[in-house]
Amino acid sequence: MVEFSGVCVYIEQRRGIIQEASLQLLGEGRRLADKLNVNLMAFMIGYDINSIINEPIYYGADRVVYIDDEIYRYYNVEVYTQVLVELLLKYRPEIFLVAGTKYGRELAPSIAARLETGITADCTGFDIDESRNLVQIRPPFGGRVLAYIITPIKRPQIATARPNVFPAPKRNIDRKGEVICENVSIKKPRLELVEFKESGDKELPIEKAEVIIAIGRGLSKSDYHLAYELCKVFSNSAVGCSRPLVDQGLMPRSKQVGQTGKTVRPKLYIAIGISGAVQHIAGMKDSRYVIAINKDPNAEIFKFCDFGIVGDYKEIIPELIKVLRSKH
Amino acid sequence: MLNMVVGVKWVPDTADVKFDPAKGTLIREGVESIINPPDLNAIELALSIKEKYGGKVYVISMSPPAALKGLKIAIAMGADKAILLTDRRFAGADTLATSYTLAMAIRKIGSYDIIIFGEETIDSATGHVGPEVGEILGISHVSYIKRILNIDLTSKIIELEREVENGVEVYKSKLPIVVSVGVGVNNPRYPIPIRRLHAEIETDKYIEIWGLSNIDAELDRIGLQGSPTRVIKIIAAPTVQRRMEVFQYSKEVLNLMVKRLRECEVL
Repeated sequence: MVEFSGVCVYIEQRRGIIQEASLQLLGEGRRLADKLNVNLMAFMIGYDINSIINEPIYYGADRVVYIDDEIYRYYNVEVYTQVLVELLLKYRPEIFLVAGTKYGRELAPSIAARLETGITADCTGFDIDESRNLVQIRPPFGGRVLAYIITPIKRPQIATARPNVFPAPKRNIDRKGEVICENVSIKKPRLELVEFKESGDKELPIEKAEVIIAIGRGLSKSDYHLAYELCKVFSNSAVGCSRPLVDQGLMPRSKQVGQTGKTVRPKLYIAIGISGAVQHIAGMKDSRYVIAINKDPNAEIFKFCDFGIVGDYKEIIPELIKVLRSKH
Repeated sequence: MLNMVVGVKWVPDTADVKFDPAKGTLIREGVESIINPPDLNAIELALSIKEKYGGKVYVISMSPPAALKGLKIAIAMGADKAILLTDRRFAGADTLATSYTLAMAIRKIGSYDIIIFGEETIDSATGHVGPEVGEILGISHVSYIKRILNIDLTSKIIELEREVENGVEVYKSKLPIVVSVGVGVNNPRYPIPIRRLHAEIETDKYIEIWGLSNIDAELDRIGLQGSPTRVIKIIAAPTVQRRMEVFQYSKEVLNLMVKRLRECEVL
């Protein structure tokens, strides 16, 4: 049997655009590969992706293995699982990292189940132990604890990583590496993608915003415009929300901050009418400066803020906009 | 007629679980357990499919015997039958061993068309079990379902919709299929008191208790020995020290806030 060796990152691309979370993982993958003194490989699947196949190398990979065919134009968990299982069996990396996007969180456990190997979800840290195992660090129980997990025997060791936890490495177009075009034959899938409707959401995604105005249940729907007005005071800003608003269909899921939503780390996070459930805190606790506005002086959110104002947001937000505009 | 199987987990209400930093363990004593919230949405989805297309709803949980309480709730909501998978040899299972055990039990139920899970649990939050059960059974699986668009009972083809970061996808597959749903896809119904009473006094009629001997599972794929991963330690999550300057609102407070934002170079 051929030994398992090397670190591999799955590079997720959608319509020729590489997901930021995959680039972030290349940085972490490089660090782990150097620690193990092995190569860093990247797998990429898609259609018409020629223009981006060198990108993983610019971000730290030594080798890119890609598959380019029309049948891979759109993600399909069944098809992509088959392809990645084939590639993993052929190239045999000891570590396989997948960005924890919706696709990644569905794809990685499918692959793990087929290979009957271990998988750890939503890691926020990695390390290598003295037996060269990957230490997978993840935050269960709403992020109040960190669990350290290893896969001592089975290979590859598979993990998904939470987006926006690891910084993306600098792009260096002088880096050189090997690019391999692969071909695999797959079985016709039972599952068929009938339609993909791209959302028309052209606003700045919250994970890229430097300032986030986050709204919660404490805000009436008729007052959401206040949050958007406050948002306009800043540049590179976006409006986010807590989970209940998404569950009630008041805000799109793409705006949700928290354990089951997005992890954000903006320069400034302004939480309005958010009580501060552990699941929400888990998604914003690494923000640089946190302001909380809530009418309940006992709201949990005040324990996780730098500056808190107890009072009625209807009074506070318009005044805050005025003050910021005059002093900005 | 469709057979639905819903997987539920009986979980400690995470918000109340405390951590003992000295021992490095979680304190679960005295913490109330609940049905994992999205699993209620999974039960609701199964019941609504049954109402529209006809069929039977089975609920299954791999858990210590205490989960019986949760299964009675599922029966009271309208499930036809529940199976409690409980055996000391199932203990210590990671997501792969759990999925394998559940898959073997589902296979034992016999005929299944739609297997439904909550998209993740509030305690471990991995989202692994749906895809893993699908793969182990060798059937289609789709996570993060928003709604079922149509089920054709003759051709046994299901059409469903799900949301991802940049859009909405519509999928079609031949049954059987595994799907997972999140909180918010529907409003789980309340348990019906009379059914609750029946579940209480005629428990055996509604709930079966299965151990290892009831399913065809390989010993080296269940419990701790069937788990490829090991938790080596648990620590309290480091917290960022916040300044926590909290004031009752006044206009002066806003000026102080702007001053702080400047000091911290946020503005």
